[in-house]
Amino acid sequence: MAAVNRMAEDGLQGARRTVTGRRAAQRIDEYDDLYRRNQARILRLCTILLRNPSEAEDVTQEVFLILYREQQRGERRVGWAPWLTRVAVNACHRRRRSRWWDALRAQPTLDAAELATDTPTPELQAIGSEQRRAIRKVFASLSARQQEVFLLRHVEGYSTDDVAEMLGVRTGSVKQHLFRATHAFQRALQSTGAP
Amino acid sequence: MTDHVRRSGLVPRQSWRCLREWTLVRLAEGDGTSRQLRHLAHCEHCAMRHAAIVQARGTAAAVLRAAAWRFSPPGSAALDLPRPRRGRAQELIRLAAPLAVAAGLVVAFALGTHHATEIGSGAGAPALAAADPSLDDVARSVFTIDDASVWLEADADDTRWEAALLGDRPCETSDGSTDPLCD
Repeated sequence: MAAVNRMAEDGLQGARRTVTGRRAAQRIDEYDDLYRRNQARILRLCTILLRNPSEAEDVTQEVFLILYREQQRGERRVGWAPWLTRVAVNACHRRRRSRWWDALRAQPTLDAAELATDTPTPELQAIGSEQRRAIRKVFASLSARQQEVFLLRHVEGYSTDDVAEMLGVRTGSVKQHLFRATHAFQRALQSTGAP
Repeated sequence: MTDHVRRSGLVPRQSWRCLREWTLVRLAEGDGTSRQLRHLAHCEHCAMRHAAIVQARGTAAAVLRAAAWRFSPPGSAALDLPRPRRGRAQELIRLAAPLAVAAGLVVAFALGTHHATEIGSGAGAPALAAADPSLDDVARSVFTIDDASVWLEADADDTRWEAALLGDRPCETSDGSTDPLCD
């Protein structure tokens, strides 16, 4: 009888191990999938916000590390992508507010890195270099929140409500930030003689 | 604001006033009332301003999108689990921070000592001077033998160095003769 019980116990433990292993494998698969689909997007977002490729890579790694831990804790979400975006934006926001930020900004910036490249995309070819420079200059002069709002709304393509939720602000505030950012871009482009 | 609409006579009287910049941006965001949209559809001036806003916004988004994409080529991501990685600048700061703290402590200590010396020149000077050991005091406590020439002789052998370190007189002098006081 004892032998039978032991066999049953072993069988149960084996089944548990199998289920646990299957769940762990599922989590890793899900993580891999999220990483593959979102890594470039998050890195791009961080690069624009921080204007420092090396810092952006750091923050991206941190974001995916947080994702990994969340998944290891068994957290389940319907939409991980907006969650990742929110974590990334907040991480960038925190880093920009840190005391080391000014020192780190002395590193290669978005402007310098982009000017160093010699193969503009077709989309960029239609835009004059003077206009591109004006846009980057205006973007750098915007407040952190305005930059985040504009990026999430017009580069990432989230709705105004989603942006508000991600950043934890009111929809009215998002609209105000959008207005200021858009107005600043428009004025800058007008000054360059753009139609 | 110029009243273009009234002159053109395209829209009803209640929509004559041209739209504000704020309203145009909201319309560009897909957010506006039917009345505002109607005005936009009929007012050439507002339509032009609206188009300029949309174009500026699109240009800015395109520039930002393209600029950032250079740093994040698709497919460059490995499937490895992320490892915390630090940038060179941050690494430098991390290395420099303890050094800066150490330097700060040294400076603070030096300033503190200097301050104590200045205070020491006042009424409590003798007490402080007594508490503050001089180099001579330190040397006396370390080197217990009086014969300084032993330390200065270049050809002193191991026995003599050892004896000197132990605070004894050397039993063998530099010319090889044995000290009569030694066993």
